[in-house]
Amino acid sequence: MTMQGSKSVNKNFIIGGAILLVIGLAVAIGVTLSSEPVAAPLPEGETTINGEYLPTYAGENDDNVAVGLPGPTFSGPNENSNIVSMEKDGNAKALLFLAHWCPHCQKEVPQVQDIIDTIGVPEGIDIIAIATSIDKGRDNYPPQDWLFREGWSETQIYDTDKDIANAYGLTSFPYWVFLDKELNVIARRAGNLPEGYIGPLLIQLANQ
Amino acid sequence: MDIILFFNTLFGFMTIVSWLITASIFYLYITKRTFSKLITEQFLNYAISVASFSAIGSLIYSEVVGFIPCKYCWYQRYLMYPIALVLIASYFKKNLFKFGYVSLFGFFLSLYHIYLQNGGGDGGACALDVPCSLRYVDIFGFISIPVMAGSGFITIFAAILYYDYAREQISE
Repeated sequence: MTMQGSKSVNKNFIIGGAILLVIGLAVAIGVTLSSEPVAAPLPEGETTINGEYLPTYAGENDDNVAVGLPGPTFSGPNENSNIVSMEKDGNAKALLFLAHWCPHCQKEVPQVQDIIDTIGVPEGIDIIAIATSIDKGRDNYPPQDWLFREGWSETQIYDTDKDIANAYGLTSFPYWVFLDKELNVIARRAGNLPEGYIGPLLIQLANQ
Repeated sequence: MDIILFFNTLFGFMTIVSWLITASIFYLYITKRTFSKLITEQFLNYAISVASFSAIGSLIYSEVVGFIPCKYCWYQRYLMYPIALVLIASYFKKNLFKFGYVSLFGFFLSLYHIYLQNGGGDGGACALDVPCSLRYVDIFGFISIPVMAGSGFITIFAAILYYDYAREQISE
């Protein structure tokens, strides 16, 4: 009797588990088949870099490594697949390297846009978002939809092969590179900038 | 077929089911309710199933879907895989089930990984390679891989805790 009872309880356990698994599979298949496929293509166009690559970002010691070095000029596709160039044009540059999947970038972008919406972009500087390390297997893809949702109003370039990121010594996101009017490095910073720091930094850059 | 969405939905569903079952088990433990020996054994079977399913699920995400485990994913794997193997071995040597208590460490590890994914501890930056702040999976806005792992660990712990208690009650 005990053996039969044991077999019966085990069988019920297995049946219960199997039913749960089948329900789970049914839900998963149903959701998968009924969802819209993510088919958004990335902006297309060739990326070009001119000039010597900057050394890899050196963290707290980076001011001793990179300040004063010339930043390479580059061009790449924007959100409409039009080729946009970053070159010497009399304006200082604030380059913001972003990864769509990085939660810190997701926090940084609306803060920066908020400052732009509030005080405007100071005269004499250009803010350029460079979407890099693009991976369709990670969340918040595609990056151009993300920047559109955030209302990003400034130039955006899509660095699909990470060439621009490599040229500027990127090691982590978000990554700021500030260039003066001659495109020499003033500063590089990785990670979220403290809120309230970005606005004064941009104004300081404009006054260089 | 989008296999990422398929597995996310399947594992997300199983995670939510596990929460309900775990809450029920803790309720049974707190209210000191016991059952027959045959039913009590099913709690150990459940812990074994959850450990095995969690281990297999993590392998599916890395080997089939292609997600690269970060450092803390590996730490949780170092705990879950032995727990699964030892609990399976407890079919043959009953006292081995107590190894399931190690899952509590795994649960706290998962909690810390969740903290990292929500912006803690990494200096406000995402590393270029495979940062542990990276969220590969985000089901219903809050179920990520460490949430699933943590759910597995706490479920195993609850089932082993109750099984250990109920087993002693029955033998008295």
